[in-house]
Amino acid sequence: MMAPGPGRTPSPALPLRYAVTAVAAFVLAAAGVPWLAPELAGHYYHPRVLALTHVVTLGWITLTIMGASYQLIPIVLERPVWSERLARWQFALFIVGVVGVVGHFFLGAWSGLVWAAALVGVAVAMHLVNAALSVRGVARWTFTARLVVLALAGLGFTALFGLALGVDKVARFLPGALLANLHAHVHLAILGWVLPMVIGVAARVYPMFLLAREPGGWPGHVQLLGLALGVPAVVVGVLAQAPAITGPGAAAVAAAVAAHLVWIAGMARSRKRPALDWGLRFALAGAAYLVPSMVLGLGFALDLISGPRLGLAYAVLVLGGWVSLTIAGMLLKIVPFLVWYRAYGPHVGRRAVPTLAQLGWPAAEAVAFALMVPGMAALAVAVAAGEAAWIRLAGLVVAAGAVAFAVVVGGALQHLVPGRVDQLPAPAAPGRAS
Amino acid sequence: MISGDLTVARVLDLHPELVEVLAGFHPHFGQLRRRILRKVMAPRVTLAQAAGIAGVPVEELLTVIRQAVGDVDGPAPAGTGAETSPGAERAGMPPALAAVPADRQVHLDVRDDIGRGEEPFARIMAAVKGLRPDEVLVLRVPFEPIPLYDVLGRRGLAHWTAGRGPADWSVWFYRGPAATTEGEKGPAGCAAGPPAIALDVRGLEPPRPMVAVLERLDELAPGQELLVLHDRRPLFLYPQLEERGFAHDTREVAPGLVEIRVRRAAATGAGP
Repeated sequence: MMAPGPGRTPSPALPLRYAVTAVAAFVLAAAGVPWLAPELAGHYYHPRVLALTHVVTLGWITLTIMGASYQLIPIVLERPVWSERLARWQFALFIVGVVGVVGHFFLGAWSGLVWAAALVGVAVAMHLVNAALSVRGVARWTFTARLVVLALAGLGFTALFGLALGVDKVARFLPGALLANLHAHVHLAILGWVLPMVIGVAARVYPMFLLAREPGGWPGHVQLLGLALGVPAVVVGVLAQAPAITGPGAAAVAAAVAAHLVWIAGMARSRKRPALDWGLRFALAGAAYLVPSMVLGLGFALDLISGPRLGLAYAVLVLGGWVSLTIAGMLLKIVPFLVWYRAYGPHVGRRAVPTLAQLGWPAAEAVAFALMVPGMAALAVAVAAGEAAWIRLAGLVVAAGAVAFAVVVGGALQHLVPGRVDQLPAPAAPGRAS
Repeated sequence: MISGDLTVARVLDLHPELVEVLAGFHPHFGQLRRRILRKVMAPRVTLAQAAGIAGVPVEELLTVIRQAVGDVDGPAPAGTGAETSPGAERAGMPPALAAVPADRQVHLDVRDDIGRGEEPFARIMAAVKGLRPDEVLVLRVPFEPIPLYDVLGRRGLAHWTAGRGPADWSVWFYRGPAATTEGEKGPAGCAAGPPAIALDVRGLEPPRPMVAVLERLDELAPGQELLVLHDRRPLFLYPQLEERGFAHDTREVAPGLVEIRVRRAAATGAGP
């Protein structure tokens, strides 16, 4: 049955399976950095570097966002997910497709890459259908709702473009230079899919966790217009290798990013929550990485800088710094909540259940933070320098941080082990659980 | 017009001679003669806060200052709407609370703790634990501690709040007939039934709103409603309510304010 249950939220198991698989992909990618250090010291257009990149972009980032959508759509858009069954099928197809894409990139087997990319495309189409039908009945077109729709459009175009690039490997048909097409695909993915989704969701979720005022005012208009006008201009400009188009487009995107940062700073200042937990620190550290990312992006757009090493450093700052740290922060909020909801939600008010904070492991979260945040900066510097030994060292630091992060997630998942609820203290007095 | 929301530094920039006037008005202000102290403290303290620090009514302080600088066009507000002096703080206070003598007031100031990034919850709960039945806790905090209302409300403590300045709140926690948020009138048409239980979960971090609601369900008598004020539609709460046999109606009162009415499904014979 594909019809939604009105007012229903999906089973927590649905977003959890996405999140857990994504965390595994993140650990795999982080572990791959020291291993692929010699390749990362060279040009980024290398099959194994492309394989690593797609573990990050598809296995870690896209999988997390897709899964989080199935939890966040009900919260931020106040709409039920249209079909949980479709989301489960999408997950299976996507995993097979991503394994195929990464594997064939790694082997440099382009014919196999096409069918794998096609599977990813089908899974993305399923996600778009599910998300579009979920969003369809939204009561009010808020900032977040608009950004989510923008992001979904970006995902669709990115997947199509990626599939076209895969087909182009075996039967060349795309006009334009190979690297220009690749750069356009990358920017479509980052600016058209990830950026609007992150800043749209942040506008609704960050105030919830920071206990801050909902952001509003002119920065919202700047973000919407900056992305709606800037992203197509950047992609077209990169494709056409026309700095006259890329430059203004990049400036518009930079304005959107700056407005997003203004909002985050405002929320952080107006928050009623005195102490930040590690999830929020990860998210804020990720936002801080937007600054160097934006500077380098503008530098490339305005032809002030160039070259594969700086290009790879730019990718590390964006994918490893901004996106990965932001997503890690969000997962440190999402995963414990889903686990808590599934394991203890039915027992609230009936038994003395653990608090959400008790599902976390602050010491391990602190270790992950201390390793990953500076580790990503060190990795960006190392790839910019093109020194394999430095890349290996920075990669080991990041990988250790990723393992600590995975341990935290695993610790929360332990609460799903059957029988734990039976160990809870005796039922609390009605209404006096505190 | 000099008002209570001006910082001491701003006032002294405009009228340096006021250092002596202030020092003459109250010995506490004599410390402003020390340049280092003036540099550190004066930009951070408003006149309303300075009056509070010195324990003098803000209007009295403003009158003296205005007279000294020839600014006597008439009375002006003491500051922003949120600011009050300690004396004015009690305006609107429940009479029973205003009558509590000083020896039955337990004062706890956690502004410095929070300023240092420390979690003051343990200190607050220790103070609550040591509170005798006839005592009130007067808490000073740099922001309105909305989550605490629910926590202490469930321990039988009502609250009364006064904003003293932009980062200065005084909250009185006390035991009394209004110790919980119960007792509010239900919606029109429900007047004949038991009074609704009101529960404000706005400003709480997820999943605490859900916990707060679910923990109150057992208190609902047949026909009685739990009126929940929430920031958003709690879609994760609804399945839990339905699984426990409760019906619910949600109405968006305003952007960012949702009202959910929860009742036992058997009492209405209808699901949500």
